[in-house]
Amino acid sequence: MRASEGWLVAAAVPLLCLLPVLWYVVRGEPRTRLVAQNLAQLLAAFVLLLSAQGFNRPTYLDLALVLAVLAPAGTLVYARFLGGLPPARIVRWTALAGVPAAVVPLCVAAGPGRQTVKLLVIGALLLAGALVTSAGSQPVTEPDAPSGAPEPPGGDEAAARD
Amino acid sequence: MTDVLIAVALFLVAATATAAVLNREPLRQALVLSFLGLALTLLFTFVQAPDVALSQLAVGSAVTPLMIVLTVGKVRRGSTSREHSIDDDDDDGGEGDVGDAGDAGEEAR
Repeated sequence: MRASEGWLVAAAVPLLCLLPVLWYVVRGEPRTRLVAQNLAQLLAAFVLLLSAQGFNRPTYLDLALVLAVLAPAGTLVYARFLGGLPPARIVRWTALAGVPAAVVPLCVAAGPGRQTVKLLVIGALLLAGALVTSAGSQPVTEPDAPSGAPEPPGGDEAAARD
Repeated sequence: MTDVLIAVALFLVAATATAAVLNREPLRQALVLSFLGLALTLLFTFVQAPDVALSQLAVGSAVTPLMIVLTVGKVRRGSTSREHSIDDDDDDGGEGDVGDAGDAGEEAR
């Protein structure tokens, strides 16, 4: 296996940034934990994108694609149960700075083709998810307010997105 | 360089797993478990096991914490409705609601 070192060094940067984020996930207020969890998923997506290029395995990009789809949905579901998601500037600026900084060099390295399209799709999904979840949401309903009727589980994400 | 990445990911997994054990509140534990799923995904990717990492990503970072959060919400809701009125649970007709409310009442004692 021939690994290109530069991409792996680049992948180590967001990986090391996960260490202080872990502190906030473990020791923060519940709102802070949710923001830190959101930021951790964004950073992990960067690590996966860069390490896929570093290992010379383009199929590893599927991991980043799955994470880019799952991360905003999971964050919104958590926001529904924890009662709202605070606006987070750090997630927005990390996404706005990190996604072009990671995706554009990867696209240049990949050259035109199917892999570039995949990279652009992953970058767009990451950016859209980070912008939606960093805008914050207010608690729409108290989770313990309805006493008798169970809520339909399908409306959770739609309720959290408002 | 791969060794450094594996070492950092191993440290992340060890620290997150310890923190998940030391957290006692289930909702906070769910968030730490979600982070643990991410750390394990990165570790599996670095040791060249992307298939394991894919299933770990789906299960560990989404499904398991979501099930914990749903269970905690249902248990809390069942315990509060049981405190208000016992007849309300019987009127629902669902056997699962009555059983969960009973379990929640036992845990609350």
